[in-house]
Amino acid sequence: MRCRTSSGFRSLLGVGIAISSVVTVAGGQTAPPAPRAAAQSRPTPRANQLPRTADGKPDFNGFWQALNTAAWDIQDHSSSLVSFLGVPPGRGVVEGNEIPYTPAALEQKKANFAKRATDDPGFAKCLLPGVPRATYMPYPFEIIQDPTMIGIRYAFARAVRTIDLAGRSRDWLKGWPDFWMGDSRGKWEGDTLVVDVRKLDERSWFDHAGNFHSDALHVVERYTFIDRDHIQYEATIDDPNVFTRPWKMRMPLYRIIDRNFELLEWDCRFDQDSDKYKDAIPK
Amino acid sequence: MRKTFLLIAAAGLFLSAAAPLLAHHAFSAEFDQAKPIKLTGEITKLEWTNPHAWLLIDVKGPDGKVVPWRLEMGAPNALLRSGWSREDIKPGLTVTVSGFLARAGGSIGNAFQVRLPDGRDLFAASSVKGAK
Amino acid sequence: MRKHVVLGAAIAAVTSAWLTLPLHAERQRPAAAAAAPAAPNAIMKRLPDGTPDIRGTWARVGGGLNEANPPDSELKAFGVLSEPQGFGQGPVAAGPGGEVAEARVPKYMPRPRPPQGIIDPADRLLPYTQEGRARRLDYAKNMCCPAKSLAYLELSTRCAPPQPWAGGGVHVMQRPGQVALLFEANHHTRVFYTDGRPHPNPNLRFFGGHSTGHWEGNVLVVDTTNLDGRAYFGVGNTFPPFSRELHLSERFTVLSDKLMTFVLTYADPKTFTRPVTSAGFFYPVNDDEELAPELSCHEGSYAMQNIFGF
Repeated sequence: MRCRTSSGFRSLLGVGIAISSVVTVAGGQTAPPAPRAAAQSRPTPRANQLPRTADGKPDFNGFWQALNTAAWDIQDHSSSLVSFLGVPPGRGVVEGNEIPYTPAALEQKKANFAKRATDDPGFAKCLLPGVPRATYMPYPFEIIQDPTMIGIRYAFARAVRTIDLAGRSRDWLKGWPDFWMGDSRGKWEGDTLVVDVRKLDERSWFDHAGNFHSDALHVVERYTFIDRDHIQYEATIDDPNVFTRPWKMRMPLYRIIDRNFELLEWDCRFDQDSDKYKDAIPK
Repeated sequence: MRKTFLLIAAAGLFLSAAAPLLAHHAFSAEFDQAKPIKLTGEITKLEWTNPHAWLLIDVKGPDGKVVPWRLEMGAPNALLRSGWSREDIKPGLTVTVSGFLARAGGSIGNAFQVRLPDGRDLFAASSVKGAK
Repeated sequence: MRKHVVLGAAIAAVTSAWLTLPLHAERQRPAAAAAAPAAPNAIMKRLPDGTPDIRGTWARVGGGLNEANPPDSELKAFGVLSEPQGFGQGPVAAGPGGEVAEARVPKYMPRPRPPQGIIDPADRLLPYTQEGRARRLDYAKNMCCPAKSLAYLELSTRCAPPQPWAGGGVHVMQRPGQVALLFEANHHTRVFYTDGRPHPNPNLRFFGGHSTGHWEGNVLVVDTTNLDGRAYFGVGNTFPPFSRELHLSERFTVLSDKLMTFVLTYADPKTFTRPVTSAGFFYPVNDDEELAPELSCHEGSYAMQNIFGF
C-alpha cells in the first residue's frame, strides 16, 4: 500500500543506498573507495528491499540491539573481574581507539575507572544510560517511527527518548533541567537519519570504564540501513569541556527477528532498592 | 475579579494536562510533621532535578557555625509550567524557609514555605507583599 | 476566555495540518463515514488501513479510583495523602516576579466535560471483599508514619511506574500491530499489541502487565493481564493494593482528533466483590505545550535515604 514515488526520485534513492551500502564501518576495517555515481536511473535491487514508510523514508520500526561490549568499555579491552561476571573482552567502537581527553579530564576518567564498581550510573546504579550509551547497552530497544516523531524504548532502565522530526523549536527548553536521555532533533539526509542531541545530563557515563562527559555534551547520531536487518550507527561526540576535539563511535545494530518479540518491563533500580532496603526499618 | 478567576482556574487545572504530574505521595513518610523547622540562610544552589528540586542554603547557627541545609521542593516539570525557571532562584538570595525535618534527621527538610526578605513567598499562590 | 477560544480554534486548524501529514491524506476516508466529531474544527483522522489515527500528544483526565466518600474509620491513615506537599509541590499560580501567572487554559479541554472517575458502582464506593478490606486496612495502618517497612512504603515514593496512567503529557504512537503510549511521568510506557498475539505465561508479572487490543470501529478495546498486584493505581484518599487476579479492561472511543473518551474496568475477585469501572478522556495538549518532556524519578530521588537514613 505504498505511495508511488516518481521513478526519478526512486532512482536517486537507489543511488544513495548503493553508495551507503558499500561503506563498511566495522571497527578496524577501512572503507573501500566510493563507487562511481551511477549514470542510469535504474535502482539497485537492494534499494527495493529496504523497508520504507509510505512517504518514502527508511523505516526503522522494529527491535534492534548492538552486539558488542561497548557498554563496558568503548575502547579495546581485555577481560577483568569487576563485579559479578566481570567485564567481557572486546574490540572498541571508538574510531582510532583514542578518546581525546584534556589532561585534567583524563585524570577524572581514571578516577571514575577506579571506582566504577560502585560509581557507574549505568551498571552499578541502574540509572538512565544517556546517549549514546543507551544504543549499545547489551539489551534490546525498540524504534517506533512516525513522520513527525520517533520514539525509542530501551529495555534497560525502561529508558525512553523521543526524537522530534517536525522541526520544533528548542526555545521552550530554556530553564528546563537537563535530561538524562537528552533532547533529540532528527532530520533526514537522504536515507540517513541524523539526530542532534543536546541538553544531556552530565551525570551519565559512556561506559563502565568511567568514560564521561560534561553538560556541554553534543552528540550527533547517524542511522543508515546497511540492509534491511542491519543499521550502521555512528555517534559523533563533541564536548569542549572534556575533549580536545570531536570523536566518533561506530557500530552495526542488529534487527531482532524473534517472532512476537517484546520489550518486557524491567526496572532494575527498583529491584536494587527492593533488595537493599528489604530488612531496613524506616526512621 | 478576572484575575481571581484565573487564579482559581490555574489552581484547579494545575497544568494544561489536568492529570497531576507526579503521583501525590505522603510526604509524611519522609518528613516528620512533628518536627517543624524554620531557617534563614543564603541560597548556595538550586538542584534543578526531577522528581523534586532541592534548595541548598547555608544557615548560620547561634554559635556562628554555618550549616548547609537541603530542602525539598516541587518537580521542575511542574514549576516550569507556571513560569518558574532555575534562573529565578539565584544563589545569594537570603530566604526564610519553613518546613519539616526529614525523618532520617540531619540537615534535610521539606520546604513548606520559602519567603524572601521583602515578604514575598516564592512559589506561593499569594503574590501580596507582606502576606503572613 | 473567548479570545482563547478563537485563538485556540485557529491554532487547532494549524495543528491539524501538522498532525495530518501527506502520508495518509490520500487514504483518508470521507468524514461522512466517520463518527460525527463533537467540537468545531474537529475531524476524524484515519490511517491507511482505516483505523482511527490517534497519533499525537494528549492530556488525560480520569480513570482513577478515588472514592466519593471514603469511610473515615478505614481511611484516617490515608489522610496523610491529602496533606500539602510543600512549596512548589501543589498548584502554583504566582510567577517569578510575584505576578499571577497567566492561567494555562487547556485549549482543547472538551466542553461539556465527559464523565470522569468511578461510574460503576454508582455510589462511587469501592466494593471491597472481606479480604480486600483487610488488605486495605493493613496498609492504612502500616503505611505511615513512619511506614512499618519497605513493603508498606508507597510505590510512588519508590519510583515504581504508576499504573495504568502516568501524569503529564502522553505521546500516542501507532504502527502496524501496536499502539504505544509514551508518558511523561517516570517515562512510563504502555504498549497495546493489536496483532492478535496472546498474553504471555501467567507467571510473568509486571507492574504494567501485558496488554492486547483490537479495533471495533472507532473503539480500541484493550485487555490487560499479567499484572503485579502491588502496582499502585493512582493515589489519592484510597490505596487499593490489588491481588494477582487483577484484570483490566479498557475501551477507548475515538470521537475526533480532539477527543477520546475511555472506560476502564478493574476486575479482581479477591479485592472487589464486583468489577469497578472508571471513566475518563483524552484531549490534545496545547499547541505551544512542551511535548511530554523527560521526567525521571530514580535519578534524582533522595526518598530512600530520607526514609531509611542510608
